[in-house]
Amino acid sequence: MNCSLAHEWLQRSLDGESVDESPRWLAHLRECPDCAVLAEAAQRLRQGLQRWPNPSPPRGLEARIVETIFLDRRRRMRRRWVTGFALAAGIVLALIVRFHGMRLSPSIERVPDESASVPLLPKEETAPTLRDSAAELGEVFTSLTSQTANETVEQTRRWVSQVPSPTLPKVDLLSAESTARPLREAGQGVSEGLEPVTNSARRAVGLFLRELPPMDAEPNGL
Amino acid sequence: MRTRVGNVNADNDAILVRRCLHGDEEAVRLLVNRFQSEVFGLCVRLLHHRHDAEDVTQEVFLRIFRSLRRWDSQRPLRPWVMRIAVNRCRTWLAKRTRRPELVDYLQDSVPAPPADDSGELVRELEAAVAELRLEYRTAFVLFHERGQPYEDIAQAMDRPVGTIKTWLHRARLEILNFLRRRGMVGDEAEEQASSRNGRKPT
Repeated sequence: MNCSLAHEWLQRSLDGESVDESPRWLAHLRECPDCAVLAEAAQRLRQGLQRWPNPSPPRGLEARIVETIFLDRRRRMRRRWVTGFALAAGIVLALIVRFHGMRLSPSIERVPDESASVPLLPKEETAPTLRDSAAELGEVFTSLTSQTANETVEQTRRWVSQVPSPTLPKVDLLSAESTARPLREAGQGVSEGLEPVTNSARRAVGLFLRELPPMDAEPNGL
Repeated sequence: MRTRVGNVNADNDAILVRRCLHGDEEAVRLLVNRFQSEVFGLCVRLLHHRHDAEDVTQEVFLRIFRSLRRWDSQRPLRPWVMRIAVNRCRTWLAKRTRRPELVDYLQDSVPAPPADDSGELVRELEAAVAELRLEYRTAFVLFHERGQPYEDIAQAMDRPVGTIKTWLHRARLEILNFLRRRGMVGDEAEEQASSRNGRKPT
């Protein structure tokens, strides 16, 4: 038996296999002091392991763990309930808003389109209420949006007309027209694309105004 | 026979876990009681600090109950529990190395060994185990102190059995050499080995 095999046997003996009494093993230990020292160290290790005190958990740890687990479970349950409730409330709110929006949409349509010319200040001299201010703000926002849309369309048209044709001298007019057409269509697309934005903004402002509480009955005693 | 026993244990585990998932307080207590010694013992050995071991044991059980639904009922419960414990200890140790320490861990370790002759051997053994790198220490403690087979240790440490064997063998060799260096091996044998190698005994 060589030392490498002896080490393997040593490991097997520490694994719990009964190899210690093997005559080959004992013969090698007699011949090889290094392996003999290692075998003795292994014997000391076994003794040490037998006396190694097992760390016992402190008193009350089990109760603390169980308490923590139930506390955690309750907390998670509560969080789940709150999340579920919030989700349900959100869905209900969204449905209500949508339902009211559908009911209110005809009245919103009555807002004049030529609102770009609406003055920023009311004509009356009385102090404006919050509702009036919000209405003005909405109208201004709407007019600004439509103004921007118009300007964009106008600008696009100007750009389309200024497409430099001299750079393509050999291209006939028909192909130039076909090149310019997509740009023109893009301009129209931008115009049409901004239309729903304008409408949505108008509708949102209308909804906001509807939901505002009446400001006339303000308490004066404060 | 062993397979039958294994199946019975697995069935018991599955029943216990099912009861826990249904909120059965008694089952929760049973499960904690069944594993708390093992988990706490492993934490003490790996962290070398009783208070930290208590905290980590609580964390381990919290994790266990949070992820109990993910346990595969076809597999034994113990290695799964020990795996969570090993991972928590590893994370804790990583955190501990990043923050300044105010206490000496050796002062607050496991209960002091007896004061007789064997006490010294146990102290040296503890010191040797504490010097091992974490993987070796985990494999050594799980095998020699917790008495777990290689297969369970492999599951707990998420490594192949061959790797676990290698780690355990290296851990033992390191401990044996530590005991030699510390004079825990008979002088006669040491002298013989030293004279053969032409060096003075340590």
